[in-house]
Amino acid sequence: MPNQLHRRQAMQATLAWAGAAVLANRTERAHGFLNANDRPRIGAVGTGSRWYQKATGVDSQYGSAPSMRQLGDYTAICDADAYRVGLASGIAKEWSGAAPKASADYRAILDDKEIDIVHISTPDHWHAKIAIEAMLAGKDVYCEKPMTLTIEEGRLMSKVCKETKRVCQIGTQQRSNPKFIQAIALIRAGRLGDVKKATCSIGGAPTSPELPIAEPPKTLDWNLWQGPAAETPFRYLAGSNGETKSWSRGHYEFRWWYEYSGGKLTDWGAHHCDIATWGLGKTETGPVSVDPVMVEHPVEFKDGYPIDESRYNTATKFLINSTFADGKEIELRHDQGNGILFEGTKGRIFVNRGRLTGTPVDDLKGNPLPADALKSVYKDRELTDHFRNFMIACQDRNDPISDVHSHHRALTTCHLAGIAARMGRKLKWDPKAEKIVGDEQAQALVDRERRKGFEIEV
Amino acid sequence: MNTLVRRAVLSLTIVAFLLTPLSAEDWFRWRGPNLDGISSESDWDCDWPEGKAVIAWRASVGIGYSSVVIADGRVFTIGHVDGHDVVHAIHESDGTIAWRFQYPATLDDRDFEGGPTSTPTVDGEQVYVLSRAGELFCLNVGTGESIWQQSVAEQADVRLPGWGCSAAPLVVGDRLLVNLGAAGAVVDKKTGELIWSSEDRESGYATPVVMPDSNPPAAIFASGKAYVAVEIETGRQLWSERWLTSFNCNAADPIISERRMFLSSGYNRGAALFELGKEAPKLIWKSKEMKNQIHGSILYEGCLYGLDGDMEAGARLRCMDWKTGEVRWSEDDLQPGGMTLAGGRLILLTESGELLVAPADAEVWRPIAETKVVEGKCWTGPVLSNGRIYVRSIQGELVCIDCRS
Repeated sequence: MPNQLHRRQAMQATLAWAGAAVLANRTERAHGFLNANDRPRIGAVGTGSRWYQKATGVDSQYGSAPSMRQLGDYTAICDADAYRVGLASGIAKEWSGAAPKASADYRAILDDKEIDIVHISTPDHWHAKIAIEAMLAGKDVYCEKPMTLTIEEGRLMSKVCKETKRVCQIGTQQRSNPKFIQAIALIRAGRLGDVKKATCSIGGAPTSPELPIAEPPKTLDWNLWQGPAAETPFRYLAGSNGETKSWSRGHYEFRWWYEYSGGKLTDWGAHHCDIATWGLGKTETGPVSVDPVMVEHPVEFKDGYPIDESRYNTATKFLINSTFADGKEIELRHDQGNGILFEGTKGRIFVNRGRLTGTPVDDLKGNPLPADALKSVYKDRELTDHFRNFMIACQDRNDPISDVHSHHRALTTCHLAGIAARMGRKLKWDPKAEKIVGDEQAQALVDRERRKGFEIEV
Repeated sequence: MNTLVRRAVLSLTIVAFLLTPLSAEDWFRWRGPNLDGISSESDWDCDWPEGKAVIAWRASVGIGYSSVVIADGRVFTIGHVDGHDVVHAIHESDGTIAWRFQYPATLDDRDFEGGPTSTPTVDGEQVYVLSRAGELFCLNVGTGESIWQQSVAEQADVRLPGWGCSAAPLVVGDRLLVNLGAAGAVVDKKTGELIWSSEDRESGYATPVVMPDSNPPAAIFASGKAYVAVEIETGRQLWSERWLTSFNCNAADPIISERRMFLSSGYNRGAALFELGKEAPKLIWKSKEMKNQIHGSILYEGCLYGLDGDMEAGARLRCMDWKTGEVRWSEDDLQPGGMTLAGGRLILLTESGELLVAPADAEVWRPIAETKVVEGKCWTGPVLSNGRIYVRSIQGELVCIDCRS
């Protein structure tokens, strides 16, 4: 049984460095560890461009790993692509001086008592299963966004996280960006009045030509890569113009296939809808209706499923409105650049990674926020980067800034938008029961069947 | 103020405005008070016996392409003189210098004669000047003293377009809109402090244009690769219309009228008319027959009057139907250098310094007056204000022609 879970070491593995952490707190260090031996040991599952683009053979500093490795050592590497395992292992060895354990199967990491943290950078359809099993195995988790492929996976992750008392940070790093923190602080201080609406501009997905069935790369275990998703042939087409290198149903481009992701609705939606949900104070509930005002898909859909399996299928253009019980709204749209507009009765602000603007921001000059306003938004911790915030949470055992529970609620809005887009109709949602009301066909998309051997067992 | 009272005051203001004689008008900013390239002055003469106009005065203002603006009896322009760009304030009445203000600048004459390319903007007691290097100066209109100066390019940390900044700064309320970066930048007009900026990509060369009736207020910026609509308060993008040109040279100001937007660029790009709504612009027509390389067209009574084609190769003067894009007429041999429209008459300056006046007629180009006013190459559009026509050559000879009747 390839899916056997090992729970024997649950709750124990982190004791070694948790002890060191107590010591660290006693010396009033904000973060960090007393000596190299106390550094947490991290297992990386998925070593594509989000982990560290260099491990894909591209000379780029992009990724989480260069920051994470400042705070811990990657002692184990796992990827379904042996080429990436090789490159990532070399990089990890260069960083820590010791060769990491390498494998294609992430369970080697869950079974490894030496590992404190599992860093998940796989495609979306693998996130929940690995994260849940890692928490059950006693590991703390840093999971890149979007956290899940389905709403049901989010419910499960939230439940398991609570039960195991593991620390799980989602890689929505905008929550550790002062611009977004300041935006939330302005809202909480009432500077916009009653905030009625958040508009998230998140871009649309690209299209692809028809992709022929192709042999998967020799180094890639295509069966393992597909994991819980339905088995299907690999597809690939080399780019013919200078703009696109290639189109594929695999690494990186997985995000343009509903089978593995939610397209832009969850790719950038995970970031901006998270901030929107936070700003509107809806992190413990959800919308009551989701209206796909305008949606364009690159292929035809029937009963919620694409009928052409040879092309990218996620939404290229959309305007989807989610309304909460009190009438507040989150709008997800593909156009108007990138960022979030919060509109209140007294003012409006716009925020993205480059800017925070609007009259309430201009007014800060004459009327600054109280000194502790940002810290208060940042769950009473000093502002730091997203990875340090995670490490500090691993020590103090409180929720990190991007906790599973609030991310689940924000991402539920994105997933519902995806379901509404696929069904092409308005949905009613019961945020308490977490069920779609009066539409069994749509409700069926709240969860997905996982391939035999890749079920999630709790 | 309640709405009724406000409406009443507004109506009175409009009536007062309509009653103001149209004989004199300060052209205090780029493309004029109404930002359309048109002067409402009709009470001026072009009765030039034997082709000789009354030259009120001539002044030397330095090398450059900067146009003139006129406010409270003074004429403002910029020119390059010995390692500096010099802002000149000249008495409208006699051509004597009221003040000069200079800042260090290179001539930067790659591909053209060099010197400043943007036009000052007067706003009450202030005159704003944008250098090619992206520095913004706020000067006292009466004395030329610097009130503040800021490098917007440095504050915003964005690159300059290939030939430097050439757009005029545009005042909207308390804000100053500058075409720099992927979708403009906005500073506080009182302090020069940066309020927002856009991504580090090349801007275009056109001056920002406010979208009429937009709520919240929005403006259109020409970037190197698109025309982008953004909210003035926040800088948030509303839409972006991809508009690719060789050398990222989007230099003609967009023209907006009755929910329609006209875009045009040179280098064989051509023009298009779009419908503006809540969402992205929708194409109505496009045409290769109007390629505005550096001068924006003028929309007058349902027709566009513009210079089609690249200046180096010799542009054509054309009249194009706004609704359909159909060319009404084309004058191919005039070698136009710039144009304005006043009181229903087109005032065309040729590249070699001849001034021609013709009724703005959708049927025909029929000049009624002609005079040679300046030597040297002219690529800056003429300006008419308070009954006087201003013409400058690239080398910096500024001529004031008295056309008061």
